[in-house]
Amino acid sequence: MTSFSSRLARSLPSPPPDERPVEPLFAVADAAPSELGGTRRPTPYGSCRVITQRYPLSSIHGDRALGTFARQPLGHLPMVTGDVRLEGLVARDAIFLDIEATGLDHGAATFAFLVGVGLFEGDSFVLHQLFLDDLADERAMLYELVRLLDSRPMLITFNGKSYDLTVLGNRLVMQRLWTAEECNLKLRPHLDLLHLTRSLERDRLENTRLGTLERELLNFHRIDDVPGHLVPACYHHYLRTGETGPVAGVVEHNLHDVLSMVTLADHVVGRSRPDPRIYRDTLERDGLARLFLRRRAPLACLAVLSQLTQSTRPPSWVEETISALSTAAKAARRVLLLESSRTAWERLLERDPLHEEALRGLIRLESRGARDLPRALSLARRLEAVAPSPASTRRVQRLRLRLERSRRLSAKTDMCPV
Amino acid sequence: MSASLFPRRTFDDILEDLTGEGQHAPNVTGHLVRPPREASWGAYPPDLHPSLLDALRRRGIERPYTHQSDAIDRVRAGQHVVLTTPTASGKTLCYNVPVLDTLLREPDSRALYLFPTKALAQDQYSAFHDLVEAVGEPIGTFTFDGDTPPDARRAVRDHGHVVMTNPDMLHSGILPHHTRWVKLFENLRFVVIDELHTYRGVFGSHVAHVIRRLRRIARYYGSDPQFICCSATIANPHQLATHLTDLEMTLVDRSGAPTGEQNLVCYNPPVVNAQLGIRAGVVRSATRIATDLLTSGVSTIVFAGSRLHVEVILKYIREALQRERLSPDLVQGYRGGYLPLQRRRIEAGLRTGEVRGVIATNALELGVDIGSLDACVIAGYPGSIASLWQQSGRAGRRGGRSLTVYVARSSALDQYLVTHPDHLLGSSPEHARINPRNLFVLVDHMKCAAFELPFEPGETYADLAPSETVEVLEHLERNHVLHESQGRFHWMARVFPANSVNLRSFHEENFVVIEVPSDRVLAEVDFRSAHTSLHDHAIYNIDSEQYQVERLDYENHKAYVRKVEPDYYTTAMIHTRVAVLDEEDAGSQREIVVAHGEVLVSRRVVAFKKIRFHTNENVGYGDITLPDQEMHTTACWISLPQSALDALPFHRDTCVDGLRALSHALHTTATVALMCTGQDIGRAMGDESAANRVEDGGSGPTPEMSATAFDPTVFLYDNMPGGVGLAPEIHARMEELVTSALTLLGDCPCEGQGCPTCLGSLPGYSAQTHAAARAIGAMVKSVLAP
Repeated sequence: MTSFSSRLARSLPSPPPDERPVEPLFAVADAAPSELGGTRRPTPYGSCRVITQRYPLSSIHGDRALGTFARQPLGHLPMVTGDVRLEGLVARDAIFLDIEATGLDHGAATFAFLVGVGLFEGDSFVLHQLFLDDLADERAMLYELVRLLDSRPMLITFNGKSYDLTVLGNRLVMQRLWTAEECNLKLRPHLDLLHLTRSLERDRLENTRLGTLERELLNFHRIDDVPGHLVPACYHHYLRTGETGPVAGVVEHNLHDVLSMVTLADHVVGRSRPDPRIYRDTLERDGLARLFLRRRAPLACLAVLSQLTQSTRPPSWVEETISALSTAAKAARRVLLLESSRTAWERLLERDPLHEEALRGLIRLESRGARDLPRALSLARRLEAVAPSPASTRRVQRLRLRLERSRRLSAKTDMCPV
Repeated sequence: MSASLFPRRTFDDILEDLTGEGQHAPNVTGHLVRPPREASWGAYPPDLHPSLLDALRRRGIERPYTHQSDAIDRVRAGQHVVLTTPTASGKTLCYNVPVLDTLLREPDSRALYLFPTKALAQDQYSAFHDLVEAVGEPIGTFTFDGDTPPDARRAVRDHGHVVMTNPDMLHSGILPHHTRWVKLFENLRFVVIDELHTYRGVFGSHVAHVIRRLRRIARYYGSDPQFICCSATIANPHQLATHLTDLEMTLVDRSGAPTGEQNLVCYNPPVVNAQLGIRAGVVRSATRIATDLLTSGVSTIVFAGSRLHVEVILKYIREALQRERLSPDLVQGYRGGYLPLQRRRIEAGLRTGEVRGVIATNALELGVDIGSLDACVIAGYPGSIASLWQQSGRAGRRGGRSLTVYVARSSALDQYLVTHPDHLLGSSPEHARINPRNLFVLVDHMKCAAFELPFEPGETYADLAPSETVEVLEHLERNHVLHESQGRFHWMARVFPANSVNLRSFHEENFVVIEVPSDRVLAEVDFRSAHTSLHDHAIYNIDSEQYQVERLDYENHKAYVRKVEPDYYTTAMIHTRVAVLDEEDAGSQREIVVAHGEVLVSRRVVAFKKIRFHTNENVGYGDITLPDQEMHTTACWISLPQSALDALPFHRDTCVDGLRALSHALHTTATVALMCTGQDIGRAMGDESAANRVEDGGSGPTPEMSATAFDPTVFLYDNMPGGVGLAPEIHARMEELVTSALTLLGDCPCEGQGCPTCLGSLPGYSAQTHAAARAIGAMVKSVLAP
């Protein structure tokens, strides 16, 4: 009988190619120090490595100082994100979080081996990087992480909603030191910069990857950065060989990620304020207006478009985009500023007499309370011609019947002696 | 009813025709009447939750049958239960009642239901949901499968008291993400495994590991669920459930459900050419009987052996109905490859009676609800006695008189069974075998397990000894899949292991059949069947329409077909090659080697034949070039040296044919002796002394034997990747198998002249070949004798 081990060896001569680890690019090792630095911090569950850096608020990253974000008012964030948990928070309440993990999926086996945590302390910005020298340190590391997170009420991440917080949540559950509620970091007040940036910048950038945003918005350019997809391989290499070179590159990568998050937060929080004076162009203004409308903040939306809706003189065509008019009309209707809504739709129709949304909006306004049924009917006929559908045919019929009925009614009234 | 000139034949007339002195009488070799059985009633436990009791009574289930009450009592006593009773005996109640009873008392507890397919889970969902509605308590019931939209998944995770899913989804969608299912795993009280008998072979071995992983995760969260398994009739339900769950199970197998009178008739088609011993084809005979039944108003299900036969029989029956001026839509086809919506429509039609007949593959064997039919025609032995009874259970599900006609093929196994009906009607059904120690399967699932939770120091996995567990873990670490830290083994590869482990087979996705020029998707075909049914120029049959394959896009798994009206269909010919990888127990039995071990089987589709409809003439050939399909498995083989054959008084070619005939007889006897299906054991012949052991699988043309030296070898291989343990058993019982093979050859009605029934498919038949087969058999037997 062949032995178990030889059968094992024969049945699995080597792992299939897709499982063979990729050797990381060792070029990155030259740029980084081979020692990771930091100290091992004791916790009730053993110790873990913490690498701490302090930056004065005036330190420059890219084209701005880290401290500028600390002075940003955040009052409009609940409106712009649609998350009421952000109510009443200030910039210094925020903790910046970014992880590097052993895998790119978020199954149970994906470890966060490096967690960067940044926060404002007095006149400096402090960055703690928690690193797993050994997988057995995980419990201590998570304990230290939760301690840090508990020191501030608010989280800021880049794509944390679907990645960082999910992976950490899994690991917290697996360590079984916390209740299910405590493990779910998604329950905390959280600003995901990716989502906000995407809403604001999607139309003007080729993509919203952090690298692109750094280049295009923050004027920060990385040199010899470890590409994200090689991060797991760098750590696997470290675990197998103990060489810190490649993984030191990952520590630096994570440091840049956190610092860029601070300046990116400054950028998007500033740019998302409903203040008509700050926009670079109508594209930005209209995008933000649509965002507020989508988040059910029609007043903020109107504030963004206030130059357009409140000006007495006819605005120049440049400012008065179709998108802005339609957004303004919808927002005005939500807050029952029906006259403003009508004006916006009418102006839009002047520009484009066949604009479907404007036709629908006006029909609704004119037919409400039978304000102007003949006009509503003629607009409905126009809409039927533009977008023929059973629904639009029914709409025309309905309006015609209403009009006839109201005419009969008024004819009767006319005939009756008063 | 008004008297008519030509009175319609009734069910009784047809039964009389078959079993009495009617026209078919000479062809009927066996008739079994199972008398009707009265219901035997039990009682609900007195302390069953009142709302549940109330709901059951309102739904008309006043009292349970004895097997139901027995199962309920045992589950409530905390035992793991496996239940095996006939089709339609109310198995679902046996698990739904104790599960609901517990959920009503402990609203935090959870249950997981496993069904082999999505469709069955959906079916059971609606039944269970109705009962929950009747109970009137908020018990969240959800199906969770690949079709569950992402938004709904969160609701299932948070609010699902009962989650109905399939093993594949458990394997790749739930276990690797267990941290999001904390509520389920912390409170898991029951795991229900329905259709247990489907978890056999390699699929069953995979599922056994999925269950082991499930129990490992449950232990981690501090729960130890109770298992309730339900199976159709098989020989070893208790053993299968025990192997599958790795738990001590209690068996409940005495049904208390009433049944109607069941008639099972064995029908051997008439001899059409007495000289050559050729019988009428199974398709034609089954078609005739089914048409007879259908035109008499008897609702009928026909089980055909292959998808192709479904289509051919459907076409013939529809033609016959049209001749009778009946609507061809009264009968429908049903098989894998029909799109889900089409299947649902057919199922509904059968339930309402709009569809009077259905021609199906074994896809309709499982618990899909199609209501009751009066008659069942089984066109060819379905491969196992368990399947035969399961299929015949489709007739007369709800009492009354029913009829099942088993129509034999001309193959040796069918002829053996139809001429020995006592064996067929009297013996127990087959064993369902799984092999959780199959190394391929085991290592794959250990990877998945390590992904889910790191292996702790001293932890053992599944059926492995502690030292073996460590050996596998260290092997995986050497290959950089795992990383050891302080005795714990952590997952350390970038991939998600469950994605590369497919429970159903070792092969990837289905092929899609696309009609040109309409670009309409007609069907899906599984990877293996695609090789034989979707090659270039193949005629693809669906819903009794013919399409010709214009182009097979093998890489993208697409076949482009165009509607045609040919007078022929195509069948593919397959070559099988076997290469020995590792030999065990070769022994020192003189020159003749009888051994078993690991082999690599390569299957290649080489050519196709065009067969004319109705006449079955062969009207042409074509070549096929498609990649090989390889399978690593175990086999038992007999290798005869040239010198031994030279000693026999036959020409070399006769010896080779004789050996092939002997392998055919061995295959038949092994199938019967090991109580497995014909497809479970593959058969091939090769040349020991050649570099590659090349040979055919029986259905193809004879390949050339090396003209000079040859040491022919007969392989009987386990037709599941990795094997389920058949090869060692064949090896151990070889003497017995050779003895019965010699009896089979000797007892054949051809009286030593040689015929397809005893010798299998050969280029020619002669008394010489027959004698050679027996001589070789005797030689092998003499070597094996102790």
